[in-house]
Amino acid sequence: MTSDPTDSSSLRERFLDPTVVMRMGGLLVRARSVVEGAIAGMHRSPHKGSSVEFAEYKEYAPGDEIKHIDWKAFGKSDRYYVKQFEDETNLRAYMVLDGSGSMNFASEGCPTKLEYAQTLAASFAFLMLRQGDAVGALAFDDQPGLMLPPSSKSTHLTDILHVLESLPGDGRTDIAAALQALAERLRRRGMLVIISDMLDDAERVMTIARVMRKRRQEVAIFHIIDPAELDLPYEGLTIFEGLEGEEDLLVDPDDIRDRYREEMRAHLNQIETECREGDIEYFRTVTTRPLELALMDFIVGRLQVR
Amino acid sequence: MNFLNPLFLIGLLAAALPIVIHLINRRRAVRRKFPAIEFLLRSQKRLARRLKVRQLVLLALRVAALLLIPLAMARPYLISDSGTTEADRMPTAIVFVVDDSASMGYNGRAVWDRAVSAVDDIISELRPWDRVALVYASDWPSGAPLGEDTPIPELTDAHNDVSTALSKAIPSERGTDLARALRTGAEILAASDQPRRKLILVSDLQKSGLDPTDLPVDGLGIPVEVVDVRDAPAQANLAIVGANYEQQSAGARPEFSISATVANHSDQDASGVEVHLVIDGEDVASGLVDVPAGKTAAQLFNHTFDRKGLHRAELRLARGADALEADNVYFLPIHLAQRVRVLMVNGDPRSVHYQDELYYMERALYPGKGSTSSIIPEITGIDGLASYTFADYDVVLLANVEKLPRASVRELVDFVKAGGGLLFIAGDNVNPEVYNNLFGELLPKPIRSIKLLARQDDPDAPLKITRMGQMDTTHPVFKVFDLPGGETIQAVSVYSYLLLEPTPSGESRILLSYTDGAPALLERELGEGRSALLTTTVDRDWSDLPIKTAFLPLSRRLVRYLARRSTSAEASERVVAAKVALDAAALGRGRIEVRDPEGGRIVPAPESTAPDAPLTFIPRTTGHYRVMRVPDAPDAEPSEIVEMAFAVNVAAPEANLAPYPADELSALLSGGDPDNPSAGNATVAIDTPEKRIGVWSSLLFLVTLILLAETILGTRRSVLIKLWNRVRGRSNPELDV
Repeated sequence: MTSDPTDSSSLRERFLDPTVVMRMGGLLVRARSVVEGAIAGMHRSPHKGSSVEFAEYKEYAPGDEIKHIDWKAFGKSDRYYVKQFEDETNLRAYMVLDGSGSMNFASEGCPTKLEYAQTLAASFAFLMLRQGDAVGALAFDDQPGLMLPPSSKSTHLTDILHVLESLPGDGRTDIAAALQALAERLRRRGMLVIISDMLDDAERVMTIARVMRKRRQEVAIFHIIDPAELDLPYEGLTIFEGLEGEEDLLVDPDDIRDRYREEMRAHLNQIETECREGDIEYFRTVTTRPLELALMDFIVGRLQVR
Repeated sequence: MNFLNPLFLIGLLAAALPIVIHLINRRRAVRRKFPAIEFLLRSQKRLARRLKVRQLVLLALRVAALLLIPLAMARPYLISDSGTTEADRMPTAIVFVVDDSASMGYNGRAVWDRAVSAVDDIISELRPWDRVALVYASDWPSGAPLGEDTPIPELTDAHNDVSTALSKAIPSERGTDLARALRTGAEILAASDQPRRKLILVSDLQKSGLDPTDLPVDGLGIPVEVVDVRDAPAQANLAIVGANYEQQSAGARPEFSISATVANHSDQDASGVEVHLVIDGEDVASGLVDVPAGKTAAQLFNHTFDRKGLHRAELRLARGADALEADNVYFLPIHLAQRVRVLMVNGDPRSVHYQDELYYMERALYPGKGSTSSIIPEITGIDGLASYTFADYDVVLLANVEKLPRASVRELVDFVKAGGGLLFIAGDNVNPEVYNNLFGELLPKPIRSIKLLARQDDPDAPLKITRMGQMDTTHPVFKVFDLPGGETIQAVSVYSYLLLEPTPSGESRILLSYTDGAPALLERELGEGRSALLTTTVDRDWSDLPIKTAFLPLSRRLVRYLARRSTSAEASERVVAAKVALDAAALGRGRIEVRDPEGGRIVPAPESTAPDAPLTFIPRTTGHYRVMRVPDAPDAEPSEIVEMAFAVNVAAPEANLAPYPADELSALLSGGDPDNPSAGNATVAIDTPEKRIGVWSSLLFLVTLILLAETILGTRRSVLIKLWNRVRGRSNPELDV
């Protein structure tokens, strides 16, 4: 009897708890363990045995390269079939990592969103580089920070990890500014992986993301959320302090919990809707969710896109 | 608003606690970093107004609860004329003590109607489980024989019985006895097991109707609610509170003076009060009398009766003289004596008629057989006196009596005091020392000695003797001697007479003197009777009085004057509902009935099993009553015993409508000292209108509501939502990721 892969208890058995992952040595170790976990999980996926290079046969038509004719197929069927292959060119991916103050938040028993994002980004980079794709990275908070151009060198991982670990985790968030800075540099078609808590003006972010998408850049957003941000689980009179220099607020969370949840729900829905409408891949994950699953979401999503 | 425990009001300071707690809480708020504060700010901004209102409401509720709790513990109450007190809600036993005395008929029964209406009002507010009884507060001797004083003597939940009984009743002609009725009511309530008991006294609260000494010293032990139904704070009232008559002259057409005592129970003088004299149903005279405020005045009528026997008189105020009719009439039976019986004691009997001491006197009073004289003399010697009873006679005459046994003297004193007449006549046997010693109490003046002026055979007698001199012609005896021919009395020659000792003026009255100034005839009053002393003889030993023409009128008028007079003095004043006892000995044998003023038959019952026990009954209305002897023969008509006729009137105190002062009444009914009203335990409410309405229970209920509201409003919404969902069997929704 096989267990349901979406069942949370079974997930915990098969994958590492994010808090446990965060306790593992450096970012590299974490990334590797996550990727391995993810790939181990992939073996169980319905896409088992599929070719990475060969895509499909197509009946020959004038204009097709003759060298692509599959003569063995001609021998069997007496028809000309042309082998279609995936683009052999390495994917150029940019990881845009939010390093603002709001990311440096963790509710009880959870890693900070920044730690989660760093590990996810590192795992992503590890996976890409392992596939021979080129990965670059951009860290930002209220303005674009360190930027590492994409490269497929295996040694490039060290640089990427360095960039990720250099994120300060303070200051305001301005994803739009970061994306805008990046857009100016992107000439070739590639992929943008934005890892952020999206606590910014969602509409503006999405506008730029859509622009990027129109420039034939594939855009994927990893929306990292702490569980406390969803439920506002606090009790008693509380003075809330913003992590990005916002004004304090004295309130009994109980009084505004419902309203807050509505606001939050609307916010999430807006981002999701915008992404869907802008053909932007959107992955939402809470920091309690195993990283492997988050990574798998992406991989599975990519496969579906192709 | 008033408070029973005002000390608890200190607790009002606790109202500051929520504010203090609010301020402390503000300082104790937890600081927490939160990334999505923009959303919090936005949410809070949208809810700000609502939250502020909620916070204010919460604060107000908490302050209100803390204010109301000590306020309720201080047990506030309102003085109100309506509403229901806590105690009112308890099952209650109520005895209505309703005054149905004559005074309740004031102002055309408006006062009585008000009383009935007040009781109806109270009954209409009773709950089905309340029980009621009814006691009347008019004066009954010692509990009415047929239970008329307690029409509903046992507590019942048939409240309408009280209303029905009262609607059929009218004010009686009886006096007021609130104490008896209250005691009866308290006894009825004492047997009740209802948790709450009270007496409701509905009355005009006449002070004369409540004798404080008749109430238990330590109070009734039961709260008394007093409903004052007076027409006005001071009800004015005129009344005839008494009447009497006195025979002024004897004879075939005797003259009587009839007096009515008119009382003015108000604070304003009444002038020209019209009083009518009605004899045997005929209005024979009227007069006007001025009665000062708060005083009485007498209106005197002189009336000459054409026939002897019984006359039924009424003294009435003019119709509409005041607001209370019941006491405006006074019934008075007038008995005219038929005969004068005289017992003459002869101190010097002689075998020779004309020498006898009383020879002339007897003939003057009763000329002989065939005489129509109404004076009936009987003569006895001292020795035979023992077989006579003085009380059987109207006049006793002691003529030249040497002395009497002590027992006879005592009987004689009682006889005179009871209204009999006594005449001492001088003579040789009179020893001044013995007389003064023996008859000192009866003699108009003590006797000093016998004065001998001259012997009858003395040739110088005409020079030595004296004659009758000055007489009091205003006196009934001598009125006629003022007429032509009357002077013949002065022709009487007196040879000897008794000298008297001087006494303080006023004790006796000299009616006739000798020309030398010594008293010849004098009288004194003793009790209801009179005694007179003639200082000379009625035979010819000391004077020639018996052979003078003046002797006959003098002796007859003197005897009539001294005779037991026809007065109202001996008639006992009878009032409604006071037991009447008829002397069985006077009634003689046979069946006796009493006819009331309306002709109703009353059979009086013996008071005891003793043979001579008086026959008693309780008269229920005012008017003239007749006592009848019913013959054994079935067809024979009953005959009236005229001498026993009597009248029944409204008790005089009932006419005084002055009320009991409220504070004194309150103290009295609560067992306090009437002189110090504050000493009472204040369980008496004068006038129902004023009630103490306790509001603490309502306040506590309000506190409960407030605390409930505070609990709901103050409880975290998340908890409420969870509870609500649990009640509805739903799981608590979480935000999906």
